[in-house]
Amino acid sequence: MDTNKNVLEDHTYDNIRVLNNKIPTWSLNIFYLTIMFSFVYLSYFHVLDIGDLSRDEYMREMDPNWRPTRVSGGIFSEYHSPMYDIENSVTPFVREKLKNYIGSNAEANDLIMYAMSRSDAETLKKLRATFPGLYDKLITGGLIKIQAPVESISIVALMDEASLAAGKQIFLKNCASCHAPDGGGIVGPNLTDDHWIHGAGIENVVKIINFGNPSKGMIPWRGTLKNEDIVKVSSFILTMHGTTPQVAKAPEGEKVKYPLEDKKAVEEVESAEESEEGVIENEDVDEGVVKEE
Amino acid sequence: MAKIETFYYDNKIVRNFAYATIFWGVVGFLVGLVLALQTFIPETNFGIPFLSFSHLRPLHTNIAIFALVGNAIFMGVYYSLQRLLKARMLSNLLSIVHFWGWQFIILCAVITIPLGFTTGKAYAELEWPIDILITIIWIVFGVNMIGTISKRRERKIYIAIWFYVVSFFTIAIIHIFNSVEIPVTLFKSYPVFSGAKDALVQCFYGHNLSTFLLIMPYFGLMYYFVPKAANRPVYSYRLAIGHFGAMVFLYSWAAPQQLLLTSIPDWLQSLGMVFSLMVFAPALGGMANGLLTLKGDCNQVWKDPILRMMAAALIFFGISAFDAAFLSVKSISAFAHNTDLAIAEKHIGAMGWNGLLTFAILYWLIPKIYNTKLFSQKLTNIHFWLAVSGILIYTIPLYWAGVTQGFMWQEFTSEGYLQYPIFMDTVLHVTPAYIVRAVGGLLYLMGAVMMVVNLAITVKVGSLVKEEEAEAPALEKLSTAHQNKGSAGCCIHFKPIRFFVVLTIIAVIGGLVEIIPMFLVERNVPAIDSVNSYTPLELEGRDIYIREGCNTCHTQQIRPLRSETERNGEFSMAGEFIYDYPSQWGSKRNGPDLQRIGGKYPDAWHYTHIQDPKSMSVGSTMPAYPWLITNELDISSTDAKIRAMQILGVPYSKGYDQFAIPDMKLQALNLAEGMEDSRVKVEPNREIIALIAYLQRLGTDIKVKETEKK
Repeated sequence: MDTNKNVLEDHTYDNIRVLNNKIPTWSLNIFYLTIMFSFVYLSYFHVLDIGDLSRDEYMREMDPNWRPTRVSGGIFSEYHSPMYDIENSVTPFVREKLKNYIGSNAEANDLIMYAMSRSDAETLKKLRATFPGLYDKLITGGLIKIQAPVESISIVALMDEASLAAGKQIFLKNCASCHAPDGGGIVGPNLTDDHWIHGAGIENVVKIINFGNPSKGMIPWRGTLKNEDIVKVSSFILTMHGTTPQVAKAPEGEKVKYPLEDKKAVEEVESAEESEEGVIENEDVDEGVVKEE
Repeated sequence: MAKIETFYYDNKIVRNFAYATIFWGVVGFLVGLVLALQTFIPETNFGIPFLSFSHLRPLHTNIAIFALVGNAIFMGVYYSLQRLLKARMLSNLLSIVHFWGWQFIILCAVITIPLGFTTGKAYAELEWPIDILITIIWIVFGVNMIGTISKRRERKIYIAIWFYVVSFFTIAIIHIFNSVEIPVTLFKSYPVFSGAKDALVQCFYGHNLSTFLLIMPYFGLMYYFVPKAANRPVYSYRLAIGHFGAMVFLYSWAAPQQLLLTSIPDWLQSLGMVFSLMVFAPALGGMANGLLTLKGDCNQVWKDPILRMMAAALIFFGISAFDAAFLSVKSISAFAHNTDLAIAEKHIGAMGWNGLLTFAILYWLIPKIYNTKLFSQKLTNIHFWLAVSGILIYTIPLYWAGVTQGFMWQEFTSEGYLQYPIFMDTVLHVTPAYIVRAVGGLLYLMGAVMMVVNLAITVKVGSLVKEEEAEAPALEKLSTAHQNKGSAGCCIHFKPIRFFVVLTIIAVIGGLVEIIPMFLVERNVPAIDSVNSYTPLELEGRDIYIREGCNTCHTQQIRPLRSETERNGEFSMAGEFIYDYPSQWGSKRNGPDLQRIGGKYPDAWHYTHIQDPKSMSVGSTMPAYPWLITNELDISSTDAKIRAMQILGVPYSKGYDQFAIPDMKLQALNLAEGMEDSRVKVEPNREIIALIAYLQRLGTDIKVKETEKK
């Protein structure tokens, strides 16, 4: 085949003979190819600065208008993320999505749903202040079933067996470790008694599951559990009230008068919490929200 | 013609290293099997701290790298070097010191690592006194090897020796560089680099350790033992020199490929990636040279299990080289990093390339030095098939697990939620693969046990030729005419040491270019104002985190990917790690990332979770750490630790070491009292309090900023 083949070097090393065959062309080709690729890659990303590096790419995914700003003088460049935006709780990402919606793009409905479902109560208030018309439209148009459980959205506890069974499964998987499988409470509070730390009733329960209260030990489940699952598990939790657990933890929180048909009992607790957080700025108050100082 | 001299090869030292590699190899496989079981039945640690996964896994890697591979290299070097140079080793004493010194180091590792005396740095867990010992013994080895070169009777230095010597120098450099640390006590030290810098130093070390211990010296062994065993000429010397040179130059540049998408500078990541790709062809070239050397007589290779093992080892090397190149592509690393793909790749390399080649050399070499024939070809044959099927049964499920889990972590629902927000679900999904993997490991171990039997009988039948007589003409005197010829060949063969030093500089130059700028430029890590030093309690907690080896299964590095920030929070920034001595970024997620665990769960949750992980996370495969609740926190060296930190530049106020312990007690008391509300009763002086304090601090510094600004 090759004229070079089997050309023996005259020397042997401890009787090991060595041939001097050509280096296989395929391996050289791969080598040259990777070298060329490396030049193109490095020029594209670092010399010519055309391509988005990983962080830039991420930023742009979160905020299409984002432009890289690099701190000079350091080898490590500092980046800021729109997810970590101190000044504005309404992130550029959300704002961009909202603009899409104003363009009355049908698909964008989902996007704003997404944006809103992702926002915490504070952000939602700001959203409302920024886009009052849009916000109302969303609420009144019935587009939102259960998004972020803001006070204005009324949530009804589910009663059907399927949902409660699903809720029970979710409870056993995620909640039982702290609240005991029968709701008697371990690390977390007893769910069967008349006492509620964060307020009784479906709306409060949904709210505390959503946003949590890490300082008091409750984990936020937003993002981990889907909204409909949160409603299911909340509904299930309400059914535990009045049952007798094997080991009941001592009551914690405010005693709530049962039955809850008297809606004031619920709202008192709720509004008490709100007054701590600050007053809602928006003028057009939705039904069901009672403001108290 | 020069006078013919008679001399003797030292076979006893070769035999000793061969026994050592067999012994430690079996121990290493056994520990590996226990670890494989623990990935799905964590209870197999029997509640004993030093049998826990996080304690044993560093031991497993240390035995595999330093005991199995290390001893095998020494065995091969001591055998082939003497014969290639036609000279006995420089000094019997050095050989003996080297042998026993190395075994003592491994023994130290076997004792200290499971007990939790660890630096927390990957593949360099041994504490500073042992680091010093390693340096000394390594130099003993080097002196012995280079001394032998200088008194050789063969002018021309064979390529295998090039691999040996360059590896020796490079390992010496990276070991010393990675082990610069400030001792606090006899068994505790802090590295001088922190955070992102330390992560880079660690990755530079880890990458080059695997290159210059697992790959390069093994190519040296391959170039000696493959042509010897096959009795075939080396296919191409030109190719050998070519791929040697390319690998020496390119490999160390590729180090940052282990840190793709992390908080190290982008230009480093890109360099790591492109050099990883460029080194792929030379690596394949090395494999091809070995295979083409064997190719001459396919029938013979097929019949002879030793040659077949060598061929399989080369093929496995090729696969692992492909994997390494594949995983170094950024967009692939995005889903593959931290998964089992890396574990599969490393085991293809270790079990396939290092393991099989070691076995083959042992099967060939033991009968040679015992002047007999191998007891059973049949057993060898069975060993071959057990080993190969073991490797395949081990790695294929892990490839599947890695790809599956990588995609599960990144999957979003149409509503924009993570499909699998609960990390445990993704672990449980791939657990079947872990079970199959353990079977693969068992087969591999069984094969090794067969080898022990086979070789033991061989040894019994034969008798060791301790001093093997050989004859060779004395080396001709250097003639100036030769020296002045000026060709490269002259430099290699007449001034070998200078040649090797130059090669070593070439080998580490990539690392120097990539790492040195970081230490020269001031403020190279942009400080984040709100990032503060750890409180004494958190610092002690961090040391417990290191001691328990949490970084074996938990990373502390959130990459800028939507799936990761969605799951864990804001992506990591280099400035957040500046007080981390050493950094604990980790490289494998058997559990979720912990960079932003602080504040995510209540203290009592952590308490209960560490006491019994299954109670808080259904199906958890994390072992329980009940001893953290019963152990009292050792505060005897807290003030010394603070002082060491001050030396390293952590801004504790002057004289703070006096107040460290009162501060610590106060924080511990508050923490313990806080948990009483959740019905958790624990003494404030327990280790778990410190660990919880550290965990609750993790990644929260940038959040402090957020609330303060409000």
